Amino acid sequence: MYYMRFTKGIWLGLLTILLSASAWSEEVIRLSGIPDENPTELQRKFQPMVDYLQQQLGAKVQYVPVIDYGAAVSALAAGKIDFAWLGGFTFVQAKVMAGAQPVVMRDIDRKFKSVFIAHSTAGITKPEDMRGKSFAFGSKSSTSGHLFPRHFLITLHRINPEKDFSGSPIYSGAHDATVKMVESGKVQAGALNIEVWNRMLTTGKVDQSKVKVIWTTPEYVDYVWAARKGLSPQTIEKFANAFLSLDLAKPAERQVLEIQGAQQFVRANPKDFDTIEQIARSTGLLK
Amino acid sequence: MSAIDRSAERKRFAIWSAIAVSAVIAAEFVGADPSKLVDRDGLSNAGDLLSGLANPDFSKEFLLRIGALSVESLMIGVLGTVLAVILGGAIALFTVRVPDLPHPPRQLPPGQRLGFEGVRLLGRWLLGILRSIPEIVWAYLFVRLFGLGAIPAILAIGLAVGGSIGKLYSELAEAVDPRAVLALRTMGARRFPILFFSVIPQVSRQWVAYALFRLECNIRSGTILGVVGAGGLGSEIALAIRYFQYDKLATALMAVLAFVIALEFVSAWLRRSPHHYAVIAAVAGGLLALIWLDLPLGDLLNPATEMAVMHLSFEWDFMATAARQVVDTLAMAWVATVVSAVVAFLLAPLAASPLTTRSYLPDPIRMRGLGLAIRTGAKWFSRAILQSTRAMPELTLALVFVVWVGAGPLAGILAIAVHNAGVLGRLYSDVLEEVEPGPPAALQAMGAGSMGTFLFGVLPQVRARLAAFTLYRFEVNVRATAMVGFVGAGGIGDSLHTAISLFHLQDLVVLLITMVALVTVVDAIGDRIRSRILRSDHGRTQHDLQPARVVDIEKVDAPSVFLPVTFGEQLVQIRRVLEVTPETIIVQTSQQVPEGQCMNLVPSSVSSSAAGVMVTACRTQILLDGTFVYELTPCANPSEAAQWVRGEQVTSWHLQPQPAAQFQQLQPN
Repeated sequence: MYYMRFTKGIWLGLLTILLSASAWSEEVIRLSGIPDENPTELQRKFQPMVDYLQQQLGAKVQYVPVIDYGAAVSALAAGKIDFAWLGGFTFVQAKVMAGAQPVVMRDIDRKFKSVFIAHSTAGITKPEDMRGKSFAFGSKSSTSGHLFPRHFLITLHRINPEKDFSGSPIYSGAHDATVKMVESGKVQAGALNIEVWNRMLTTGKVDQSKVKVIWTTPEYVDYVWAARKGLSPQTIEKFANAFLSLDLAKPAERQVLEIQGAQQFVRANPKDFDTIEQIARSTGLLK
Repeated sequence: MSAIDRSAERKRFAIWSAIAVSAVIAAEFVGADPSKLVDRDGLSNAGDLLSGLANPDFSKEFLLRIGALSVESLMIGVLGTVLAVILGGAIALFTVRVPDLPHPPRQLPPGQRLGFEGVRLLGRWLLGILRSIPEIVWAYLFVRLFGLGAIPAILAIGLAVGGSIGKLYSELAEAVDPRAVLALRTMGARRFPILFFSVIPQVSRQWVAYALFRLECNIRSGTILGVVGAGGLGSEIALAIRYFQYDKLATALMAVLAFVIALEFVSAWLRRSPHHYAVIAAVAGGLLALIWLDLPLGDLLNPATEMAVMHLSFEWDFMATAARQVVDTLAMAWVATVVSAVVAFLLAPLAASPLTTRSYLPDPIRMRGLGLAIRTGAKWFSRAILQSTRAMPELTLALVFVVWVGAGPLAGILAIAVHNAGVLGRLYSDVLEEVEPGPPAALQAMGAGSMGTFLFGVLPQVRARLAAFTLYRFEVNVRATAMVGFVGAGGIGDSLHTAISLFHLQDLVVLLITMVALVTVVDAIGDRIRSRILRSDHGRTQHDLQPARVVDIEKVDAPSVFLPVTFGEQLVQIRRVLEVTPETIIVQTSQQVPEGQCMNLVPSSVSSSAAGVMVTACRTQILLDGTFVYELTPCANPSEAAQWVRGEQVTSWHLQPQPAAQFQQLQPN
């Protein structure tokens, strides 16, 4: 009677499931961030910050890596993480879906920009030249790699990304991946976050003979630390203060700021994100 | 009637031209330009890929990570299968139609009967939905609901495969011998006692066999679902491709290949061994997997349902997009199927032993020297190609082709075509090896070469089945197209990915409904055309071999499950005599044999029925390649019969049905 043995196995399995489910609970502050760069780089960027927060908040801080933008949003929405480092657009998604609140942002996030880059042999010198060329955005859910570049293409340059490029635009998945795609000639042009671009320039990760900047966008508001709904105001305040008190003069704290490419952290203003929400709706990315 | 009737020939010509033209038009329609494979970018991309692939990253830490991820993939496959069997089996219990007595003495009240029928339809419908949505879509949805890791992959496999398992389980259960069921009915037994004491004992072996077979497919899926963040090797593959680290990609792909090929051996061994070993192995594997993966199962009780509260509204714009996606998907699947069918058709005969290195004749002139070496080389070459292309999941291939030719339908078509060529090649060569040996043997005896034997002795016997299999794979490929779209290879999957990743729930709902409708319609139409092809062939063949009906071998990449529908008064070809004991003769055959009826077992080369031994058959096993194992009990003088069978120098046997009247005079002695 094989199926009898089989049923026994099922019961054993269910028992194990229940046992391991009950063993799950521990109090920690869990952080995550959208995976806008490759995992090794993210780990490097987040580790000093996690160490600093652990010491400031006096609690165990755990960084939960994700490989999908939306996964960071839904993890925050579901309360699986307490704070998330989100882009402007992903924050708006989290706000609309689950009432996430903005906490702090870097000084540079108030006047963030994107750059449009092109392969040097593609014959592109100004944005209008990109018509009829192949083009790569970053992740579909990226603010500086997709939402704003798309918005500026449509409003300022009258280029419809779905019609005017050669073929549909490609989504590389991350900012550094966009640079690599343009550099290798797999696409002729692309758009990405200016901070990542500058960092790749200074660390020599870009072959400047092959890739050049053709246009830089106007300023807009981007990245923000968001808190999940239902977190106590005290916890949020403690978290905010830890960032606001970061001081360039102190060597350990200087490192945290430098890796983030910031001079200091500032309080985020919820109003700033209304524009992003509007643009996200008008470009059809937020429905 | 004119001397030569050419109308059939013209019709055939028209059909073949239509297929070729439609494939070209479809390729044009989706904008797939094959020259991209070899243009400047294509070549340089391929060069990058190859040079990376030629230098795999064998650093110790990376190998350790790949090893750990491989084990994770394995565990995901095992747990996914356990979940699928539980889910599919449970739903199947409600969807099985249990035959009733012709004139039941006691009828259920109409309300209750309607209720039962309602539950049955609901179950069918649920199974249909579960299996029409590919695993990768489920996986991405579950990544959203439960976060990253192994849980989404396990649930995805559980649901998608649960749908197929449930469908096949209920079909198998409805094909049981109704007499045993009716016997219980007359005793007044109700539905569930009948299922547990009559139906399930009859099908348990088949159920276990199919589950084992799916296990293999699921472990393969487990290696790739990580592309959307669902654990296993897939995440490493996706990252390696995103950052052009082809050396790492090479290592990961090698791991997949080694893994999948090793798996085929293990599952072939499991299939041969007694079934309860397999069940014990599966349960032990499931428990081990639970411990190893250390799943945060608490998360299951706490999904991120917030994304479900967004408002739903219909947009006509989007309906038009969805319609265009449907056409794209069908066109891609069609091109891929036609291309791969051509490749498989050319490779399959090379992989079939009797056509290359051996012969249909019992005592052929042996081939020697260079000729034999070339033929053996061709055989192993084609087998190696079919094996390795079959081993690569479509999704992995799609990722590679996206790098090679860029994102878009061409990458999707190529990925599906390559994988499908392997699968079809295997199915074709299985069919080719099962032909009635008479006609090709006759041709070979007259000195026909391999080509002649194939074209005039083998092909006419199997063409209907080849066509049916190809059509069947087209249906599977429609689903596969939705899958490869997920990594940027065009079709409906691309829109599904956008809808999930941007939380466009109303689009997602529209797309999922479209997807389910598309798969259901394609399956239904395919089913009808297939059975027509097989029937029309049935009328023509002289031997009246009833072709097997394909039940459900979706995403089946290896042997298939068949259910022969009927058995006529026909010769039964014995594939192999497995064992001869003093009491019984155990044989393997691809046809069903009427049990308990006297038949004459004769060597194939002998035409006179007087030269055989009378036996009755009893089925002991159904193997997953669609063949049956029968225990033949000689009707008289068993030990003499056994000796006679052993003494015969032939390898090929037939069973001839005997009219009862002849029985006495034909008995040996």
